[in-house]
Amino acid sequence: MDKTLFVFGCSYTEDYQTAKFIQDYEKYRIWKGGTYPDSWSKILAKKLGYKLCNYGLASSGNQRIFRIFCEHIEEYKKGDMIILQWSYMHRYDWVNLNTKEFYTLGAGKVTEDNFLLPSTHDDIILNRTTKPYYDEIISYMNLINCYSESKGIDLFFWSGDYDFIYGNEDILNKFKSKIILGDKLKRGQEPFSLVYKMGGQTIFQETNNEILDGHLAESGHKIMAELFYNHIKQNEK
Amino acid sequence: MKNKLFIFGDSNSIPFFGNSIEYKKYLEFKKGNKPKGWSELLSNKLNLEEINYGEAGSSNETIFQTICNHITEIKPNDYVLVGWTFKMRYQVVSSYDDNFQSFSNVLPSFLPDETKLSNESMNEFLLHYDLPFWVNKIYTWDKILIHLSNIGNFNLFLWSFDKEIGMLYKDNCRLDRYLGKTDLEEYYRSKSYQKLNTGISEDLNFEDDGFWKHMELFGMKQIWDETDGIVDDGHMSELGHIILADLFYYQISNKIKSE
Repeated sequence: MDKTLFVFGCSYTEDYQTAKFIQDYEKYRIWKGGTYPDSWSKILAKKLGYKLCNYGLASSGNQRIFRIFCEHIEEYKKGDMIILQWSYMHRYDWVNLNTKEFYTLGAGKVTEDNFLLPSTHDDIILNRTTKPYYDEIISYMNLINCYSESKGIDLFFWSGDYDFIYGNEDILNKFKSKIILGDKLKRGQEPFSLVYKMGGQTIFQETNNEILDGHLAESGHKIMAELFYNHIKQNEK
Repeated sequence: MKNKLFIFGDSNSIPFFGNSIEYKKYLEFKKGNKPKGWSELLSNKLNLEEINYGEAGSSNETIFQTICNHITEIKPNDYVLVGWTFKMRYQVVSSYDDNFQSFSNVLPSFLPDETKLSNESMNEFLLHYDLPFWVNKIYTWDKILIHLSNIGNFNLFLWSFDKEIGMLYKDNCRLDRYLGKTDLEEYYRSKSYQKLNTGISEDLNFEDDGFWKHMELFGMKQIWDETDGIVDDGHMSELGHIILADLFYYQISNKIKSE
C-alpha cells in the first residue's frame, strides 16, 4: 500500500475524531457505544487500497482549503489521489489579532472577538457570494489540475455548496470526470442530495433528533463512500 | 521558435502605463521617443518572446488568479517573473448586477467609486491586509508555483517592491528564486552596473529598507523626479526601467549559471 489518498475540505471531509470543536461529535461517539464510525474518506481509502491522509478542517472556507493544499504540496507523489472539496463561498479568512493565526468567518453574526466591524462583515458576505469569486476558485482548479497532470496524480473535485460546480456547464465541460458525480447531479444539487435519496442519514436523523447535528451519520458516510468509489472506478484511466 | 518570458504583476511590471494622461505627458516630455519598459529590455537581453500579463492596480489576488488562468501556456524552458504587489491591496466585486460583475482592486490611494462596499469597510480591509501575517498567503502561493516550475521545468523568479514580502524571501530558503534583495552588493560592483553609469557613488547600505529604496540607491528615479514635477506620476522613470532590467538580467544569468 504505497499510494495515498489525500482529502481536503471543510467538516464534510474532516474525520469525526479530529473535529474537536464540533461538540456534537463527542455525543455521537457516546451514542454509538464509544466508537466513531468510519467516515467516507476512510471507507473509500480502504476500498481503493490507499493510505489515507485527511487534511479536511471543519469550518474552512475555500481560501483556507486551497492554502492547506499548497502547504502540503511536497507530500504528493506520482500515483497518489487527491479529492478536494470546496466549501461555501461566503466563508473567508481573517486574522485573529491575539493569536496571529488565520481563522474563517462566514454567514452569521460577528462579535468583538472577531476583530472586525459587523457592517464590514455583512459587506464581505454579500460581496463574496457573487460570480467573480466562483471564477477565482475555478482559476485555482486550473492550477491544481495543471499540477496533478504534470505530476501524474489522480484528481477529483466536489462541493457541498449547491450553488457551485453542479449544473455549471463551464466547470463540467472543463473538468469532466474530475467532478465527482458531475454526471449525476443537476443544478441546485450536491452529493448529499443523492446520499439522502439512497437512504443515507445525518446524525440528527439517525439519533431521532437526540443529537442536533446535520453532518453525515454512519449510513450517510457509507453511501457517500460508495458513490465516490463508483465514480472513481467508472472513470479510471 | 523562441522561448517565452511571462510577466505577472502590477503597474511596476508593465511598460509604462497604457493610455493614461500621465503617459501622454511623459511621451511629450520624452519628445515622442517611447521608452522601453524593463520587461522588454530584459526579454531582448535574454532573447525571449515577452508575454506580459501585468496589470496596473492589481492586488496579489488578481496577480495569482491571472497566473492560474494562464498556467497551461507556460512550456519547459520558458521564463516566468512574478512581481507581487503591496500586500494591503485586495479585490472586491464592484457591481451586484449579474451582467456587470467583475473584480475591482482596492488600493490605499484608490477606493473604487462604484463598489458596493462602504468606505468604512474598505478602509478596515486595507488596515487588516497590511498586517505582516498576510505575507503567509504569498508564501503558500510561491510554494505551489515553485513546485510547478520544478515539475514543469520552467524558470521561475519572484520579486516584490513590498518590503515585508521581500523580507519573506530574505528569511527563508527561497532566495534562489528571488530577484531583488540578493546580490545587490555584487551587482553594484559589477561591470554591468558600472557600464550604466548612473552617477551614484556614495556608500550603499543594502541592509534595511525595501527593494524600491535599494533601486533608488542605484540611481532609479520616479517619473515625477525625472520630469521635475511636470508629470505627476510615482512610477519608475526610463532610467529605473533600465536599471531594473540590468539588475534582473545580472541576477538571472548568475542563477542560471550556478545551476
